[in-house]
Amino acid sequence: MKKLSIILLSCTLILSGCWDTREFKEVKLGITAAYDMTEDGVYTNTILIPNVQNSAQGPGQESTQFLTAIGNTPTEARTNIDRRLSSTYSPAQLDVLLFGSNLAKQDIYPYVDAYYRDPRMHLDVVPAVVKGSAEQALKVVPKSEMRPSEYIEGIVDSEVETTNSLETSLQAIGSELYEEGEDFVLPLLQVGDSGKTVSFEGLALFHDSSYTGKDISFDHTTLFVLMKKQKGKVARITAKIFDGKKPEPDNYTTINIEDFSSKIKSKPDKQNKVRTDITLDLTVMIQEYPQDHLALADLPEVKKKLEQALTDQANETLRTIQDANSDVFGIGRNINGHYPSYWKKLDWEKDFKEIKIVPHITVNIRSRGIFR
Amino acid sequence: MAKSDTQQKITLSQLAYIFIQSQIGVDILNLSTVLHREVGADGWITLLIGGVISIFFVLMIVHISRCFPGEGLFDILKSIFGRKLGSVAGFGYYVYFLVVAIYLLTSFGELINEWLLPETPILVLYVLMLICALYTISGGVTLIAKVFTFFAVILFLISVLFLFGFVDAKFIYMLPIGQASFSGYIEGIRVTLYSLSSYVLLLLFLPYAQGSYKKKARTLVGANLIVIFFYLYTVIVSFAHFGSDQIDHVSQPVLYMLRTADSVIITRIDIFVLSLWTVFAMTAFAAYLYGAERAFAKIPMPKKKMLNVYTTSIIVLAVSYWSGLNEENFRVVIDFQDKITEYFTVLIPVLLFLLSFLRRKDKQKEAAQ
Repeated sequence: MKKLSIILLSCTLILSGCWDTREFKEVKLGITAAYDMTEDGVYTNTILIPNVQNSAQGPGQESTQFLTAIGNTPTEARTNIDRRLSSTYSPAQLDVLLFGSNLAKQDIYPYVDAYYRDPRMHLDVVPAVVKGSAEQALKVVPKSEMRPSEYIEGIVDSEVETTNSLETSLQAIGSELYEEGEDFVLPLLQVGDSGKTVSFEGLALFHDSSYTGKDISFDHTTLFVLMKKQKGKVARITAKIFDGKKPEPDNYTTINIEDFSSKIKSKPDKQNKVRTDITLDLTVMIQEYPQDHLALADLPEVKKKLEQALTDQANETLRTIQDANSDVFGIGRNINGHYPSYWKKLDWEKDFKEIKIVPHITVNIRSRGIFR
Repeated sequence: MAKSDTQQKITLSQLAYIFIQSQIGVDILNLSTVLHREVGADGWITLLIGGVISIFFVLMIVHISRCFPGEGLFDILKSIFGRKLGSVAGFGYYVYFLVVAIYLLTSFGELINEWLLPETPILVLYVLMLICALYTISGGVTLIAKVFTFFAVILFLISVLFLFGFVDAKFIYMLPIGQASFSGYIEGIRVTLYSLSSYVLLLLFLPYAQGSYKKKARTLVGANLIVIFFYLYTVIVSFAHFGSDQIDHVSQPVLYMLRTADSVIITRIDIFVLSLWTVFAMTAFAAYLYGAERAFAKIPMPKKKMLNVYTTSIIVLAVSYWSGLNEENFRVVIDFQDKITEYFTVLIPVLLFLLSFLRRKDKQKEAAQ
């Protein structure tokens, strides 16, 4: 009796894992997925599945497989994809999720809901918006890339490193998706070179959970990301500081941001309902000054012109944000947190466009490089 | 108490570990959401208030135990309420401990099923848990003390892993404060007090503990403070991570926030934390199962010791299986638990405390001598 019970007990302990094994060879992992909405409002889902062929030496050649299916929900589309595969398709290791702009303009939440709900899904997926068709962007596979499946992920990642894009994931936008008085941006991509490459075009502004159709253009993103208190490995800004000099490049300078500090303060204001001050201090190195002869005596003027140019750039970005009604700095949430009774009187849907946001940018030129 | 039990002794630190491990159960995973649904961003304030109240309850329990030296919960009930009423109250506690044990087991099964092992039959999860708990309580108080002390390191490990939650945290989500209604506050305090209500179990363990009552009180208050601050920590991390709207949709925020936390060694920290947490679930479950088993032993009927254990576990297993079938059944268990928790964790302890002044035995003995 005792022996039998010991055997039974050890059986339950040892065998219990078998139900939930999921063998790697039995699933096909999608790396990138594209969600689109056609003109007639039909939802289509395209996925990219990489297959690595084994070879004798090193990692073998990678071949990619594309599958497109339609469905009422992402999960139904997934089932439809599954029908054409020899093994089960799993989006658990998805790296990038592309939304066509048509679909993004409606509402992205229904399409990402499954990711939040299912514990098997990885929430580290980077969502991105594609101008036009996401499927088309997904199918761009440059010959030169070693791993075609990682092409788009590579684009988005490298833009984070150069401070052009915010580090984002489904988890990171999760709280903004729900929170009132707080919105988010996603990387914006576009197919270029007549379908041969995909390029990063800036940041797509969202309001609630839909794309507003307005973007922060590529040359304004770095300053915006710095205001959002993030910096990648490198941050470079090119600004026009002179007018009318010949040749044309002489009017510009490129600075390399070495250090920065950013503060955002909002408070109620009688005139504009809310006033927000964004203070950005930059420590920079002059990386390119086409005019040459950057004398020490010129620095105060360059600094002044730079500050002016950057402030103009910031103002332009802020105007776009307010036009899009996308509160990416979380100003509304901030007011709600610090002035709850005042917040209740505001109608943020309308008032956000009216509030005053003032950037204060100071530049500290630390170095002019080794050539003067 | 059986004769062999009276010789068992546990040290003060073991008492503290028993207390900590039986306090932290299922609630650590979902307390933040429950508090947020009741009181909004003010949840952490009610947690602190509830924590302070629970400290008073711990002191009351120590006082009760002091008035009846060497007596466990059920002997004290009989000493205070008399033989008949005491037995009824004892039976009530039996039901209460059973219900809590069932709640813990079912929640454990549900969670593991949802997060980790969706294909495994839930009954197997229950049985595995039950085997661990049965082993822990089979050796009496000393074994419980040793096992609970051994697992205490998990608390530290989990606290460190929760730091990953601060990666995406925004502290603006802690504001505004003072927005909840008065009834919301009361509800929040009630929820907190219930999740810190394992002080009732202390009456079972206090007679075995060595040391003066002053020291016991100090140790237990210290242990309770550790639990309160640990809870506060989890609540603050999850509030700051999720913001005021999303958290209401997430039932296990402390696990959920770790879903994207990536480290070099562990890819899915949430799964890792969940596995660590099963230890908490087991210890809390074992503590209540022990309580139920002790209570069953006190019901006047001739029986063997192991019979108590098996009967209790079969009841727990059967009801858990039933309540795990669908959410409605589980709801019934939770509602029932909610209804009776108030009596057994608040009303009866207060009553015992007040009556202990009238019927105390420690002074009587001194007077007799």
